[in-house]
Amino acid sequence: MDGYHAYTRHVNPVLGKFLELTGRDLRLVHAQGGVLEDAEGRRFDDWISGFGSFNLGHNPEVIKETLREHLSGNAPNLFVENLNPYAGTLAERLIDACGATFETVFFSNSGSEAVEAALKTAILATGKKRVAHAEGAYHGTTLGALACMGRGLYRDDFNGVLADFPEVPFADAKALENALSKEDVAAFIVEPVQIEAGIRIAGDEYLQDARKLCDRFGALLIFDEVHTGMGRTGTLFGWQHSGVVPDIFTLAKSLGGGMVPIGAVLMAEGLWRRAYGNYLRCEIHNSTFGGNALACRAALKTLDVIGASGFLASVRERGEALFLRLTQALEGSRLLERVAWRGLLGGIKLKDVNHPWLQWENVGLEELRGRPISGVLVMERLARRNILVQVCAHDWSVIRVEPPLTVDPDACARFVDAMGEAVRWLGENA
Amino acid sequence: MTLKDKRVLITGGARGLGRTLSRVFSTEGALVAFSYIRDEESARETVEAVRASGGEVKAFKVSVLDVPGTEKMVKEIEDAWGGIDILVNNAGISQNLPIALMEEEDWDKVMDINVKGTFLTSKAVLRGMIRRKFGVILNIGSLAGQRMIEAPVHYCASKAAIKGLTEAMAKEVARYQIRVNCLAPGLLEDGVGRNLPDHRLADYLKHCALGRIGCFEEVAHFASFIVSDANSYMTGETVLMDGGL
Repeated sequence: MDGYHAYTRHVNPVLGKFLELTGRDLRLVHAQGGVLEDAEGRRFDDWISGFGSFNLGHNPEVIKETLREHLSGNAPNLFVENLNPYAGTLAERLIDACGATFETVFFSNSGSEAVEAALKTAILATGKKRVAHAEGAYHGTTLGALACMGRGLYRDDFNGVLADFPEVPFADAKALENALSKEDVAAFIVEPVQIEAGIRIAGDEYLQDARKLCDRFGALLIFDEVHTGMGRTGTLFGWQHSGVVPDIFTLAKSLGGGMVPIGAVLMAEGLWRRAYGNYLRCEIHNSTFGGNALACRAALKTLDVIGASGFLASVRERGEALFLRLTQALEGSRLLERVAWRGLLGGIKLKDVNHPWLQWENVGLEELRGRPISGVLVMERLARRNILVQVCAHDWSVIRVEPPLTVDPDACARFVDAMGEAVRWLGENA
Repeated sequence: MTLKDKRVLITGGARGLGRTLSRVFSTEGALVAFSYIRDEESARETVEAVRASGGEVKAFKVSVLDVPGTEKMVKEIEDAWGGIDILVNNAGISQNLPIALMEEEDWDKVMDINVKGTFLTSKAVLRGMIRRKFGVILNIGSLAGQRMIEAPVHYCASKAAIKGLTEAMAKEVARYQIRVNCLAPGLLEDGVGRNLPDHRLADYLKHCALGRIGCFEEVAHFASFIVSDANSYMTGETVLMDGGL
């Protein structure tokens, strides 16, 4: 059995078979920049970008070169119970990049783990046991992170074992005030842009209100920047748009340059000491591979690239150019509800279709009845033109738009053209 | 051994039913060549599986729509083994598309590979069979081409077309002692049937006399009989093998 079939048999049988039946069981063998290539030489524009992991595209040469150089030196990869100079240097670089009073960084291997660390730190530092989160949130699928997930498919089956954390409507300062007012909440965790809820951008005013409310009621403010960090929105960290500085924020995904898994939690001055600051407690939250040298080297080089003069400005320019063209191409489309974006992170929300032809039960997937189908139909149309996109996890009527930050104008033109055609087709057939 | 020393070409032989056909035909004594289009690792595994049972096997990476490539493959087999006695047109595809999402290109792709591919490969092999005045062609059809079941219309149409092609071809080449038949399986345990929603599978099983779906092994053993000399008085026939639906 080849690896592709073994995946279907042993890793995710349902996804594997779904891809096979829908003709999307690609045998991908090569990836460079924004392009994936299969065994038959077919090329696909990748507009999923590993859910935000490929901000620098696939296999960026500078990251590969850094990793090769590092591996050839035989430096220790893990510094268990020893001083880790790579983690130290990376922490210093990240803190410097904040331009604010952050002091400590914890390194993990993923975004979910980073969120876990953020939650635990907030609970220990405040002595409070509850963490408020926003409706529609997606902070990861481990049990702690899941307790902060918006209600729905990903979370509901686990409700009985999850911590009973308060959920507040997104972008509703009054509701947040109510949730925090009893002063029993350790922190409010929120994404500056809620990706999985349908690319919902937290307004500056809301974030400012959240900051004030957290200060007023003794709660910490946590920004989950796993997806929005590392240049995706046109600033290094998403919160830099609003100028609202959190107490804690998380990073992961593109921090490792798309090559190496790494997560990070940045903590404001004094927080780590309050949570872990004595000999007995200083390692009660840990991760064996967190801060491994290879991952840190990749992250340091990624920071070099994204921090280079003009890089982030180019992300903002590319984003504006792309989404303005996209907005023009979709203008007047009967099913278009909205296009929202920040930097090179955007979403196209579509109204759902009414025609009985285009319902889940008529495409052989009765078990999905009742869920929006419009975004998935557009995915199918774009796949026909070798463009890979994905809908948002909590809202399938929204197509996420997140190419590599280095996306070229030709790829943007192909995308806009294909998206325009797909949405037109949907409007004509809905 | 029902197929001792028979020289067999099976299209789409790397995976699924094609792989089982290759292995079973080999254990029945045949020399087996098979074609595949893209899955080299699976093709290697099929080669190893046939060789492990002591059989002789050749693998060719060629599409059934590639006329020069198919002719080259046929010539290579004929040069090596002196001819092809049995052709199994097994290569085929489906797409899980309702009419609403089915485009002209989808229709063409399925009809091309399933129907045109069967015609083109048969034509390439028939030349030698007619010269030698012997041959057997087995086309793999489907229950979907015979009965009203919920399956993509292009797939059903292609499998129904194969039934017609089988009958016409059988009539035309019978004078050269060439038999052409079609084997049309129902749901198989490792095929499309495994991916049906539970209620559809339950519906199938409810109406299936044997109360289960079939397996590749059962189809391959019956296929080896159909193409064998023991079955010398059957041509132009489409045989359903569906557990009694």
